[in-house]
Amino acid sequence: MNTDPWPFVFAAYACGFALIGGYTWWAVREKRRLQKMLDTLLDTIKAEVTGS
Amino acid sequence: MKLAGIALWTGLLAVWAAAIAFVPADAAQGEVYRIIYLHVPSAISAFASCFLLAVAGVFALWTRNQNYLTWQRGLAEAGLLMTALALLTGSIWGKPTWGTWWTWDARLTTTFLLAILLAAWLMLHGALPSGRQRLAVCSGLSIFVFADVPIIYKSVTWWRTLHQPPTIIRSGGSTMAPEMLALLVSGIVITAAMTVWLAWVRTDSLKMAEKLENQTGAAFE
Repeated sequence: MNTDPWPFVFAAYACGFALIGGYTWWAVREKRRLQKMLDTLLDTIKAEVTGS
Repeated sequence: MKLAGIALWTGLLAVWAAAIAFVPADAAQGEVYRIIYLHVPSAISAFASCFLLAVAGVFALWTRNQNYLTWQRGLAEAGLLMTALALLTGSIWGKPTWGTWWTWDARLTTTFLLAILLAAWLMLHGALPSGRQRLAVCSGLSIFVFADVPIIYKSVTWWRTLHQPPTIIRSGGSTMAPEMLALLVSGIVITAAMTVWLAWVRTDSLKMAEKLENQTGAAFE
């Protein structure tokens, strides 16, 4: 095996970091966005019910 | 949930750092074998998520509870992510080891089939209108997807393949050195926990999207 193995090792871990990291970032951001929207909706409903 | 995520990421980065910098090189493969600390955990995590997908499918068919279908969606996404990572890292390992990025070997082909099945599950879930039919069809497909996992596992013994035979779970014990095996097992546990955590985050989001849809009638996914 004459090929230098290190570029392959680093490329594999970079892929792992990009895939799992990217998905984590997107999933957490999406959860925060939906939570914010749900909170706003609940506040609106509460305000309508109490008439404030 | 946030603390669990931070703890899992810390653990995962620690395992990756140890895999790159601290464990000794393999006597036969040299340095390139370090990729297995990412490749094997992602493959086993994909199998674990498919197992949980089938379990959620059985419960969904049994109870007709939509929550189990939402869990299946989260698990299918996380499972596809891990299958893609296993294929990608296997391909990167294959080039310096086998001299090729890809070959239609039985292990590789059956794993590729798993990725297609999981993508098909997500497409089907997106295409069907919500209700009992979607729950039944997707849950049935979840069980079918899991049927591929034992085929992947046994592919290296059933057929003559380029992929190496089992090295961790085999009769006569593992062929790995104890320090290498300990790090690999740690990587498997943390990556599998990360997969379940990601599925949990997504399931939570999907449940919130469903609530918003029920209240407003608009799509939020």
